[in-house]
Amino acid sequence: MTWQDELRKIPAPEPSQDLLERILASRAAGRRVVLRVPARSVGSRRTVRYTAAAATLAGVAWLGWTVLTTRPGVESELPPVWAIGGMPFIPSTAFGQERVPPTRSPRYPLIAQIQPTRVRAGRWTYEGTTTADGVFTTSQGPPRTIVIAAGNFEGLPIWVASGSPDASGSPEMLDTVLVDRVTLRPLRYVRPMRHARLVQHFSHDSIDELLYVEPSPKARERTLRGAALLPDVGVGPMLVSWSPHSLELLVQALPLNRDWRGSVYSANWVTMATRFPTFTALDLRVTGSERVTVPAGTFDCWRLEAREGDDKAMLWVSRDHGWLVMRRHTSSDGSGKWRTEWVNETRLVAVDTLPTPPAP
Amino acid sequence: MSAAPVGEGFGASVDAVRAGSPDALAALYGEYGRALYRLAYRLTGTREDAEDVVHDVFVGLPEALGRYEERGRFASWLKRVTARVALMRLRARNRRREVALDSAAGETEQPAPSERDGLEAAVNTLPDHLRAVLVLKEIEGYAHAEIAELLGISEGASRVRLTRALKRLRNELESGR
Repeated sequence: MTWQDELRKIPAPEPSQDLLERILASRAAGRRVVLRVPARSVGSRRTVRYTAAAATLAGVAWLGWTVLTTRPGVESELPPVWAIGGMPFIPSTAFGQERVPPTRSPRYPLIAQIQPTRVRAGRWTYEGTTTADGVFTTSQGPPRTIVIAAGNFEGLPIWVASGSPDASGSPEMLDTVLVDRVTLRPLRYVRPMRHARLVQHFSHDSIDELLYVEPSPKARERTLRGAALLPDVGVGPMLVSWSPHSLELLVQALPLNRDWRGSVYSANWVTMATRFPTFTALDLRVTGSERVTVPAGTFDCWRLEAREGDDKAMLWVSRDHGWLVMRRHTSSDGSGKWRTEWVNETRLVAVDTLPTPPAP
Repeated sequence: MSAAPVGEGFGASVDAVRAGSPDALAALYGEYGRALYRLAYRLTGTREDAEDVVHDVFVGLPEALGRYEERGRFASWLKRVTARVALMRLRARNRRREVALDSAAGETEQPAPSERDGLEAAVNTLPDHLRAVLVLKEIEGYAHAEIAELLGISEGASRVRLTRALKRLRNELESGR
């Protein structure tokens, strides 16, 4: 008998009788665990490198062809990566060629102290404009309304934040995010699109995603699945990058003051992780206070700098209620004399607060 | 529902698990649960940790199967997934133990060696990083390259750890006689 045989004969106990029962109960309760799946065998790594190089070349060629042949409107289904953009703005035509921004660490401590009882149910209506080089200003379309209402989900008190249909009939604004009323962490996110539907399930430590793509005349229907571990396994708040509502909800609960600063993670697409970072850190910092006049009235506001990677925006949050009164996002395209600076601005047009049930 | 086709091929039952069928998951557990539990127990050294490992593996399996590439034996793939989860748990346990040692000097989760007998007791006296290599190489039959990849160490480090584990095991057995 060999040494290995002796070792293999060491007795091991049997698993508990109820282990399978507990596994099935966890699955039924919606618990998910993201497992690290083994990589390919060590011997095949060189083949993988060659294949990856060939795939990269093919990808570059495909990308060039796609950009050259992109039809107007197609790019509007690309995800707006930045939460600070707020109202989804249309990425530039060359968006697909831009380098994928690396996931960066938060600049400030993750937001842990919030005042969730300050959040109110209601309707907030915003209008938006885009200005190019400080000269040409165009409207971003009809005003958009965000609705925040109280509800229950699997026994938990939640906020339901959704967009109301606008005059254009665009389905993009009909997305919905369910947020835990105590922690302000997202639980579910559903976003209908013209030819696809995105569903994200959040658990305490992971995110599961389904992207259903409707069949087109030339292709079959597809369902893409993805899962990722959350960057912060905790109870602090979190944003959904795609949702234009989760930031509006969070700022109501922030205990802002002159020296306040904090970071929060924002979840993007998991199934598009090769093109966009799955999570980005949004860094918020109070830079001053200002009185701001918008169509909804005049508000004394905290002015916040919001940074997401290299992208920056300014937010004006009312000091009394924590309403997002105005947001200004500056970006640029091109270089040299062809450089164009874009300023997207959204302003509060109307507020209609609704009766809010007592805090849980 | 039988999980038999899963053993060497990639049958309808695995497709059903992937689709989220509880019956198919139960069948897969019936097929592989005990073997995976044994592996987890040998790596972690405690029943509680081993059960948590197997629990997490099967809870995460339907989604993980979406990334199964259908090459090689399914059982081997499943074992490697389990080994990863167990090793992650070992690392987490070591971190917790460091914290516990800071706050309450000398407390550990391991039972006293005197409570166990023979070879098993000797194996369980090994520190986690040595026991992991011993279990993976000598019991599970992994190559040093695979162990290195699983543990995030070099092949050389894996060989050194095995040598040290065997030496300590020999010393432990000799001193126990």
